[in-house]
Amino acid sequence: MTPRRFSVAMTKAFDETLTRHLLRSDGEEDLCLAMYAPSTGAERDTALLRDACLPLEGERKVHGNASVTGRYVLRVARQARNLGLGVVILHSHPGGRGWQELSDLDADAEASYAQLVEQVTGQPLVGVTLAGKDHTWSARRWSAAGSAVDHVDAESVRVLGARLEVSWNDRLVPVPAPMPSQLRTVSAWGERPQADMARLRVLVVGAGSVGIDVAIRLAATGIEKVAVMDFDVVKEVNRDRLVAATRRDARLRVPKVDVAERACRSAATAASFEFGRHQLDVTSTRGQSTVLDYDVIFSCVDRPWPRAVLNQIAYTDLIPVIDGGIGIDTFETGQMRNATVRTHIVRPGRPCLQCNGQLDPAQVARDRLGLFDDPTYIERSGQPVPGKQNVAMLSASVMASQLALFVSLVVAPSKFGEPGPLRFSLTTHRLEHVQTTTSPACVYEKLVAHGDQRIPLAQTVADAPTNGSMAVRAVVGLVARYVVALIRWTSRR
Amino acid sequence: MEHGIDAMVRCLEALGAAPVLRHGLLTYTLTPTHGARAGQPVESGVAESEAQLWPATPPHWVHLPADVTIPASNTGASPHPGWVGHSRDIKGWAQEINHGMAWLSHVRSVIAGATA
Repeated sequence: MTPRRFSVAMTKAFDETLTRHLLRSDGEEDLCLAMYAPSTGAERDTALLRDACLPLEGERKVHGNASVTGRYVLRVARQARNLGLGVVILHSHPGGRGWQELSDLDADAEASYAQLVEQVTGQPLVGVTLAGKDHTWSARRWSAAGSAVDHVDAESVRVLGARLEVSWNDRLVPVPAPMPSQLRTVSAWGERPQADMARLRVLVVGAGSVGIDVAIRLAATGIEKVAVMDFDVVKEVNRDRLVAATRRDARLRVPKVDVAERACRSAATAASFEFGRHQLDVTSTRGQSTVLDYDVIFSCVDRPWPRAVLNQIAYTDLIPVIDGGIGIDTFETGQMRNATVRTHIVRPGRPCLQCNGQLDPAQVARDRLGLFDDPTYIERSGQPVPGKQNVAMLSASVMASQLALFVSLVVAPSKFGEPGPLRFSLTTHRLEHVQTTTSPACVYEKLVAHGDQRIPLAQTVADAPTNGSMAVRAVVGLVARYVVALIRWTSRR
Repeated sequence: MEHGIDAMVRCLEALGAAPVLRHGLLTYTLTPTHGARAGQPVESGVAESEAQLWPATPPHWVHLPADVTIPASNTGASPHPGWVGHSRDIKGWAQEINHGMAWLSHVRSVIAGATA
């Protein structure tokens, strides 16, 4: 059985709180405790650091190698248990540089508390070290099964602010070999940013006109692990925007993720390229847990419910979501009035999709209940079906802006991180910063780093009032998928 | 932050709406100020599955006893015997500070449209 991957994440604000305590002006090592919320993906566990529990008088000693008292550990462990959280023990190596391997002394100190913490909280102890010279974090997770106490190293520690700063465990996630095909890319920002970017696990949700183009360019840039999630198949009506799809794909109703995989594999420049194929709906519990395995998410979906699921994950699980969309207005005559492109990175400290007016919670509720697809309901409601205008030439603007935001988030040219929400208007060709603020009652800002304690937005609905058409459509859909699979199988023979 | 059906129960309790879970609905009582039912206590409810998302996503269906007659309402079945679900969007939810008050105000406005 493949061992589960392990990572640690925190907000930039929390990083600053910890750094202020751990890097002392006298140059001595220091130590403190904090709590973490587990975030359980399909293949990766993440400890989301939150709630620093700084030592009270007499709870730790600073004498070269800092140490804590059992009373301190027990106090924090009890507090964590009451909140359903785990405990983190953090210490600094002021003269350290890069990922810190655990010394025997540090290992003994952490191991001595692993059993106690796990017994009290039900969660494994997490150890974290801060190297003072270059601000690299390193981390490990302890397990205390029976009398055996052991640890596994994290693959990365992610700090999310205007920039996504990742401390990589080079032993588990090696620096990628530079390729001749990446020469011009690397010369744009240097080897270190390229190595950091290339190791990110990037997921594109929605393989439509924007999503596939985004995925192709990520692969071409040298990112080693690019994944695409979409449950849908290619249809003839998609072909004016899905530039990577062929007539045959539409005729055979090939899954969009397969078109994305074909295009990404042919564009990829990494020496070792891995494509994540997820023919899943992000609103399913399986889709959501798969999302939690990634470091950055591109939201290229237009329906309210999937966007709401991703919007929440940006806050609860500290995974930045690069979202965007285009609105095309037409006059009553059918001629074009304007097109507006909105792009933004959703993360703690920036307005969520609801606060910046990109997501209406009432429409999320409707979408979740299946009412957008229920013809009987739509007919009874008397409301017009929303327009679906889209143009391949203009959706490229969304893709370009989302990728530019990604570069700002990861590379931070001239130390400028992501700029906040953007709006481009086609009539005036003007790009502006959207001045939106977070509502004081924003649900998602209150759920930062809550991980598995998130609101169950990704669950299925069982008992909404329906007229039966949803069930019939589900059965018809299943039969159709079977027939399509049969046709594809016979056409290959 | 507290969320889910327990959070909605506490919100409605704090506003004196006496929430009770029955027949798959979280029911509560409120008194509309306008319409044919003005001044009379009326029972209403939301499906448990919708209340689970409180307050991130507002419930869509407003469940009411069938004798609360609302003309031209887009209705659906209700898990509560003798009740009907009314399809209603609530506007401005993302900007609401007090979700409990906003919800009761929304339901009052729905019932205000009742003719009997």
